Amino acid sequence: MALKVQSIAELDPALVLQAQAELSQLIQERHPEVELTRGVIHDIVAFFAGGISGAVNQTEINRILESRSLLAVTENPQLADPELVDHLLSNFLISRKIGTRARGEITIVVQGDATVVIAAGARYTANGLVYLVDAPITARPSGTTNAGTNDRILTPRGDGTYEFSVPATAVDVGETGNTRNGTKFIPDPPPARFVTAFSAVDFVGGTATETNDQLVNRMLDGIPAKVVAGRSNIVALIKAQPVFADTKDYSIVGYGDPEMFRDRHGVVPISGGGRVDIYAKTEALPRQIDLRKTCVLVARAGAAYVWQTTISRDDAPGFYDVATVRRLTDPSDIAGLPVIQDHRGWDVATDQWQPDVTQLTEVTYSRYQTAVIRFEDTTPTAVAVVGDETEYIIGLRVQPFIRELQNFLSDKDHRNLAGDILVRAAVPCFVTVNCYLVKSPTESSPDLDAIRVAIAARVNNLGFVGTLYASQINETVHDYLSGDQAVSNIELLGQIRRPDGQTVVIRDTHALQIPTTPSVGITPRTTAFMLYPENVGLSVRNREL
Amino acid sequence: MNNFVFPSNIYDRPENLLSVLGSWWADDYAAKDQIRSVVDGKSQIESQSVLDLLETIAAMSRFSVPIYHTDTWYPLYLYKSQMNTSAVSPVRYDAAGQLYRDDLLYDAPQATQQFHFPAPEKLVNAPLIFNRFAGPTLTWQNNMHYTVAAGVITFLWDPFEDPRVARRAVYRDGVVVDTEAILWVFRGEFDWDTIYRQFGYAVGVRLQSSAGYRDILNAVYDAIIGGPAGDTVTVALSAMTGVPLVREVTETVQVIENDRRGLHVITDQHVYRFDAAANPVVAVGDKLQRFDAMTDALQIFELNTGITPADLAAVSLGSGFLATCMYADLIFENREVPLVVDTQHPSGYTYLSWALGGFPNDVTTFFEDMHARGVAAAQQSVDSCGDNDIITYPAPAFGDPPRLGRRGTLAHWLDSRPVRVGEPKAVNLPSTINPLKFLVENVLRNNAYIVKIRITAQGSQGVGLQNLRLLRKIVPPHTAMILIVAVTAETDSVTLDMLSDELSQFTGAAPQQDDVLNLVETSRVVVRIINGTCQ
Repeated sequence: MALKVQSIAELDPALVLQAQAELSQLIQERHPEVELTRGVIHDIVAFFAGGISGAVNQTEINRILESRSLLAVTENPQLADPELVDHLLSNFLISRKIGTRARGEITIVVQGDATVVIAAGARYTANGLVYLVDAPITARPSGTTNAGTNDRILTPRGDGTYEFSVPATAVDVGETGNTRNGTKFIPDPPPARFVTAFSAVDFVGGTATETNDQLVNRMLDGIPAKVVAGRSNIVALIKAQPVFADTKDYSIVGYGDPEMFRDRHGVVPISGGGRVDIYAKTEALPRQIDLRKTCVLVARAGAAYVWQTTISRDDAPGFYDVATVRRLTDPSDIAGLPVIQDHRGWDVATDQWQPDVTQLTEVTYSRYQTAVIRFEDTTPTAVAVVGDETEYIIGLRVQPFIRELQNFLSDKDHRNLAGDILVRAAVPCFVTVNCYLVKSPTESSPDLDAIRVAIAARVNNLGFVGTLYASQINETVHDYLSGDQAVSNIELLGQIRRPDGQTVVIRDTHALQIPTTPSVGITPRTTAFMLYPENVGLSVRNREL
Repeated sequence: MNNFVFPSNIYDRPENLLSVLGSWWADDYAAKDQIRSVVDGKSQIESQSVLDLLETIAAMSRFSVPIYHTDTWYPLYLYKSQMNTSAVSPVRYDAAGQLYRDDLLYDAPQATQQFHFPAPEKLVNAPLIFNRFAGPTLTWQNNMHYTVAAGVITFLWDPFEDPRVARRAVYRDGVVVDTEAILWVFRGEFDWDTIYRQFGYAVGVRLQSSAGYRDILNAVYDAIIGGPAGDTVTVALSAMTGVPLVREVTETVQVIENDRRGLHVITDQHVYRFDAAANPVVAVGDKLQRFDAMTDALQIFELNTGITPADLAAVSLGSGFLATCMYADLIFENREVPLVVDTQHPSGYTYLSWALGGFPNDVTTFFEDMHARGVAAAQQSVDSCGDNDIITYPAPAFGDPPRLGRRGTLAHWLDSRPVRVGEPKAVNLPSTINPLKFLVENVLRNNAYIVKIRITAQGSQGVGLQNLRLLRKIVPPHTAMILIVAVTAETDSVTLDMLSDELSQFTGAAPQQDDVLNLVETSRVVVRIINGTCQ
């Protein structure tokens, strides 16, 4: 146990001196003839029996006191004994979360329609992080019909290349392994006839083992009554469900908050309360969902065909925007077709319980949101008549679990009768960070991939803070610098997609501040920062001597 | 009530410890007195360990966590070189009322009649200071002979000039560089931030260590662990204002008296002290429940019955409550004002308005918005309406059937006609309206309540209204607390029939300065002025 004093060196000299002075004073008062400044009484009686012995007892008692506080344990590594921390956490009904590895699929593009074998454990790198293929995969020529569990069929990309996907898992535990759909992967060594590789879907599921600091922040999730009552209680209720346990942050808006509009529907234009909006940032970054949707040709404008599809409330509940539109035959790493219209609506009609919503901005990014999407395709096609249908892949960015959260909280198992809770994905502020990394000409460059991932992780874990400071970027980057390396010219840029579909751009070099404009649904209580590692621009410059 | 027990532990009777050493050392050894002294001293040190242990045990519970750490004896070392230096100057750069003229200079010690020294780190209270443990010849008392504040201990007399204070020279490299004096602080209290470090950090509540902090923290914990309840809000407000609430499950008021220290409400269990400005709201013989208010210093009004508290002057509503984007707040006063009836409104529906505080354009916007909502409601289908919800409009032309409409506008709902035909006229409507009563009866009664705090009657031990932000952790999000902070102006009265008065007019001087105290200043809580007194 870390509570016991193992060495005199662990004692606080001031405490030893205090105990020693106390004993010396008492002896001195009663026996002025005793020599107390040196000799056996000073060394053995006053110093050892008084100072050391007294200080040992008091130090151990103080350590017991400190060991009851995770804050103190965090500050004092001496007390960071796993058994102690477990005892402590049990008082708050939580336990440390053990980290998990991100998993996903890598699409590999090869030249030619011939069999390719990828061994289990084949090594791929993205954003400086290593991923290993989970199982041996054999990609067989297109047209092959008898495919085994670990077989894949090569899909032609139309340019003489073929693609197939393999399952892979990050080597390192942590959420930094969660990479975005389309991220480039580099094989080591490359397979035969290799052309390129990229993530076929978002890599998800990577979580870090909790640090003591993170546990301190999570203590408030453990002890509250898990009921729909106060803000802490509601969050605790959500996080007590295994499916939502790893969700990130929630901001709860209610009566008296300028962001709350749903309680102002009466004849008297004053808030009446009784409504709760929960803004959820369930994961560090939105996931991309690829939907195979039937689209209708609605217009032709010259060579451009305008196609339209409907996103129902269950297709991608609470989605932010359309990330990509592509034909079924397109490779999955193309830029995609341009979206020319994104018209949102809402649908509550079939529900037994419905939230009180009267206008679109009250319901955007909730599970009730619907959309009509139009996009242009200039590819010559045999289908040319308005009204014809064909299928496209629509990629949408979403916060996961918005529908599940709404269903959970709408259920009478959890909702008060007459209670009205609406779950909405946090209004996104997509951040871009640019900065210079300055070094001397003789120094090697720092690990840029690691810096990008670290900055993104820092920003994505801020919660609903309202302000992103350049100093936070500075601090994060400095962990990866050495010698004379430094950071300069930090530029912060944010693009907020308002609930009404407009985009607000904010920019600063010191602090990126979410505007407080509740009338359009943007305040620090509704909006969260989101930063993709690839949106961190790092420019390495040599210091001029 | 404190319960004193002696001996409280084995270390209070060191002779018993001495006997454990055996009769040789206790009775026969030539220097047995010295042995006894050593055992006495060791007992004293271990007594401190026992005290520390008891503090640690107390800190296991959020209800009993000690506010301060207590050291039975603490050596206070004073150095002559540190006396009255600029570091311990009682004049602080950021103190109010300081004018930096010839007598105050930056980084220069101020001429003083007192003797300032750095206090030991984290020392917040030193009840007594002695020069010795046994048979002290010098006993100084806090706030009489010395004070401890802001990290400085200030003596009325120079300790280095008092022969009873032990002193010694401090040598460095064989040269006297300073003089050290030693005194002993008895039961000194040190702020180790224990409340925060043990409990506050976990719920993100950090204040200066105090009983009020512990109370607020417990209210937050209670609300979190058990779910928010009215009592948790009440207890938190009590801690902020320093206005005590009934402590026990039931108590009976026995005495209510004022003395020079303020108002006292004495029950069969406790004596409660309030500021002299507080007015009792209980009477002798009243049976009180736990957390009941005893004065008007802190009152909570629940509005669910639609009754407007009589002594509320007004309520101000801002952007958190108003549906339309307003420039500033609207103020709903608790008094009858004329109802303005416009029967010629372009909408074709009777338009109502009345005097509201706020910017004129905001007031107009408010009434137009309300009217537009009412018109929209009135124009909905009447299919599902009962007779009482229908207005009959005369046929536009002879032979046409009369048109039916819904009751939707405010005028419709205030219409006193038993049979409603056509839009209501002024004669069908009340001549006056009470804006606050209207607000309470129609809106606030659903999910809001009002807390009224009289600033002048706050207790001295409150941790301050700046901590109102913490209530966001306690108040359920579907409800709202409206806080009314009453700042009382001095009043005077004259008996008019005793005066022969000649009226005249004069132009009053413009105020040179009109300060509004920052009672609360956080991003979560906004204080608005709702009325004032002209003097």
